[in-house]
Amino acid sequence: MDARALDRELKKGSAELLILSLLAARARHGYELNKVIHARSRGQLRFHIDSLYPLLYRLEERGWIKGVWVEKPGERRRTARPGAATKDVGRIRGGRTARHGRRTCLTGREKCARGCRR
Amino acid sequence: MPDWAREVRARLSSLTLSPEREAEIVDELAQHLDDRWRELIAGGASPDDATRLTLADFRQRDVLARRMATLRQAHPPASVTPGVATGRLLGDLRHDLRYATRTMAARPGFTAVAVLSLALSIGADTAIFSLWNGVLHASLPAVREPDQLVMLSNPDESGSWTGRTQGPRSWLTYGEFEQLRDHAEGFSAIMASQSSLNTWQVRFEGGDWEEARGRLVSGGFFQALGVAPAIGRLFTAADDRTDTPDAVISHDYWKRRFGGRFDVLGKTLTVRKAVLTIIGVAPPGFIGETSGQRPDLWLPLRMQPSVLPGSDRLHDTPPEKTMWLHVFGRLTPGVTPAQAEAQANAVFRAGLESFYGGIATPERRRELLDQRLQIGPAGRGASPTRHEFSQSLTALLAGVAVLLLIACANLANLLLARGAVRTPEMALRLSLGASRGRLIRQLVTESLALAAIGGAAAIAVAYGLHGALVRMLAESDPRFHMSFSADPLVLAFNLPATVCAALLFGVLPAWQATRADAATSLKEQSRGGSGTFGRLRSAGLLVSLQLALSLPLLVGAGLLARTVYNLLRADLGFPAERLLLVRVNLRDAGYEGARRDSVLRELVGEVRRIPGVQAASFSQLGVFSGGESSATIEVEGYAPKADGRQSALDVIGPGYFSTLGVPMRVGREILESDSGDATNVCAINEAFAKRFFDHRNPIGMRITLVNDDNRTSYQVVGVAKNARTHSLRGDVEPRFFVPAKQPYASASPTLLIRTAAGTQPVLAAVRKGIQGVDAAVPIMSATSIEERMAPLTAQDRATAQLAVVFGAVALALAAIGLYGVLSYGIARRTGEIAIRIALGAQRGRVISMILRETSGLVAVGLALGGGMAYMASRLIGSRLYGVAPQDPLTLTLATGLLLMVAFSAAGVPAMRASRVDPMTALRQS
Repeated sequence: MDARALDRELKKGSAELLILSLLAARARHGYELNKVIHARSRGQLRFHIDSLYPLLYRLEERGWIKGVWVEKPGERRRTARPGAATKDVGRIRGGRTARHGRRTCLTGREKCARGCRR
Repeated sequence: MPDWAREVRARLSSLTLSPEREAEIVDELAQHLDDRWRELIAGGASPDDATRLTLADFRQRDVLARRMATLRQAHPPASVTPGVATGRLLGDLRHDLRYATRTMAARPGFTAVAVLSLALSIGADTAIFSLWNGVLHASLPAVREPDQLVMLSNPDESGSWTGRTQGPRSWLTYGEFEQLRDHAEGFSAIMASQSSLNTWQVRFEGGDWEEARGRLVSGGFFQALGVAPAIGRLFTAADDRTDTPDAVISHDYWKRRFGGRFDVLGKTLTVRKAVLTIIGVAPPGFIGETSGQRPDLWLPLRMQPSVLPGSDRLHDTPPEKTMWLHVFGRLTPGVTPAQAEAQANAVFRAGLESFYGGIATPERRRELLDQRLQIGPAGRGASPTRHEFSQSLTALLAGVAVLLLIACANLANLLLARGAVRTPEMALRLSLGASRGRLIRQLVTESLALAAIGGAAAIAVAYGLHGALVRMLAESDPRFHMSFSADPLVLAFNLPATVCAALLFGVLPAWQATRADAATSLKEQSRGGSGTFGRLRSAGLLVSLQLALSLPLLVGAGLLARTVYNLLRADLGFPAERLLLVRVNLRDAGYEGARRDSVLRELVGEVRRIPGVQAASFSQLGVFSGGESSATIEVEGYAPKADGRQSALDVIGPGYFSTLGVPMRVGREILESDSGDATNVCAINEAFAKRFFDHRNPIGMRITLVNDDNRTSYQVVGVAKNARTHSLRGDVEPRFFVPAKQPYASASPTLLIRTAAGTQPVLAAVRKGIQGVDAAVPIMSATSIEERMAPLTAQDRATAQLAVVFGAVALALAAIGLYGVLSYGIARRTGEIAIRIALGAQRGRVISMILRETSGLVAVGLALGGGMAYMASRLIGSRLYGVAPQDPLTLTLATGLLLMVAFSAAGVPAMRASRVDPMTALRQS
């Protein structure tokens, strides 16, 4: 997966949905988020730092997620959690991504991990 | 480990993030890079490789900045210097409002005073305007297209008249209404209603007797007014043809008396001799055709003989007619009022011709036929009070408007003083590049915000005041009722009043406050200098204006107070105390003809025997009863002039004059011996003697009462002193008095009872005495003369009270204004005064210097105010009694009061100035 493909997906808005669905499960910070995406796409997908954060900030400005500084002993991290406007992100995921239609298949492979065709 | 923060910051440098936001982003990204770097190191990479790989995550140097550039946070609003023109009107407004809330919160005392004085004065204005609008201008509520309604009778009059009349008709008879209803073209609907409102004793389904108000209306009443029932049904044209014992109640009464229950339909109610069934409830808000009254129920006209027993008002016997109805019509589209009037008059005239057909002499016929209908717009409905209250309300409206102006002047003064405090602030802003117009706009926005709060609170004040005002007016007419409505017109009054007030009190201070030349002002502040005289001059002008505006209010209050004083002490020509007035209804008790004479004699005899009663008599009209009676007469030796054939008349019992306490000027009064078969005699008052006998001796002359072909002659036996028995105002009318005997025995006479002490102890015995003679005789009313006369002066008393309150408030505000300006001026001039004192000025000289300056302000105020007072007094001219509008005493007193208050207000600061200790004052500066 190259950066250009990811950029296309970004433009289509799928990346936003991807991030939202991941955050709907639990709050994560940016680096962790990227790692999860990397792992789940089996190394296919990775955000550049200069795409990921502007995207998170945009979602934040729209009120879809909310960044909070979480203090743990020895570290202080900003963690993103679903914002007030995304209470129904679960439903979105359940509807769109579960059917796993073309637009939401993010891996870009001929045959994706769950078996849908491109 | 590299300095990640520096790396990130370098990539963000082209953006304009707010410093806090930038620090946050730098923090977050640095953390990310750090995590990544540590992971690479943990994976076995060399520090250099790890750093390289980590930074490779940033692609070209500007990607981050480019991506971030589209975010909102990359464009924080520019920092704002309050007052700098930004060219964005709405943004500025938001800003100014925020600033205004802060300034208001910072000075809660000032804000409270300002809001309170605005709420009270705008509230008073709104309340009186609402009432003024309701009484004089508002259309009938809940009526469909009131503009189409016209009236064929006189909307200002309510009552009834039995007999003959000439000229334009005030009311119509039932027969005339029927003719118009059946034959007048030009009206799509026509209906009649009883012009006066009845107070009935009613009883529902055999419950207790209770009071209810209502009137009789024709079958087409509701249809002509275009209303549909809330529940049940309303009268229809069929109710004009048969005697249907139906009743419709008002929505308000339904809610109030029956709690809005639906089972009210079909309930029976007893009114006098009739048992009626409630068939429907009128729609909410509907009060009928008369403004200012609130009937509880409407009954069909055809029920008159049983609900208003005593006379048959549905059928007339020529030549006597009972005129008692208001007739309303709705014009057919395309018909002009003039056309409708011509058509209606043609029908009316035909009716008259057939009614008076039996009258033989052409002269008499011409006289009798001299009657006509006038059609006028009736969208506002009939109103017996409109005419009566209009002048008082207009005067009060002018009064509160002046009060509002004074309150505005006062606020302007307060703001001027505040402006002085804020001069350095303004100077600083001006020097930082704020434009003067922008600063003025901001200050005026502050005023507007203050006024907006005041104006909103004013609605609540108006609501409360309106109720009090209605109660005040209802004292002079107990039937008067009007509820406060947030009429669009009332709101359209309140809003501009608020905005105008804000502009009035806001613009001048804003102008002054921003006038300061920055450099001078800043310098001055540090020097504690002597102040700008321009500001003092405009403050002085405002004080003069306040004083000027107070004067007409004071003069008006004085004139009205003297009017009330005069009215309460008006010489009636007889002592207005210890007099009990008891009206009985003999016709209801079944007395007719000669039996009336005898029962009346018996009643008076019974009353005279009661201990504590000095004298007793009776008369047909009573005293200040509102009833009137007049007759066509011929006077011996008097050649009638154009208007000279009518005179007022009363039918009286023996001892009438001595009971009232009216002395006879010449001759004797009517005695017991004048009743029965004795010669017809009469007494006259001085006004009658002057008018009809001029310098001749009236005693022994004959007065002939002409009633069509029926002529009765009376010989004058006495001339009584003029007595006011009917009206407090105007001249005493010529009147003659005939003894009560057939055929002129009154159906419902008033017993006049002169008591030795108070009337209250005697009242019970009088009731008992009357019941003793015949328990079936209903007592219609029993009041003392004081109670009877109270409503006559109620309106004047209410107006005077309000005017005195307005005057006092105006005076207090003017005093506060004057005090404030002088205190401020002296505070600014402490240095100057200190130098004067240090140089040897006497304390007295200092005081007189201050007072001299006050005199200038007061003189300007009085000169202006005198002119306004002159005009104001003309406005209330016709309400005055026993005092001229330009009464010099009142004017002198008002001026004196104003001077006294003004100089007392000036005295305190002047004394303070004279006590300035030069050393302390000069050291401070």
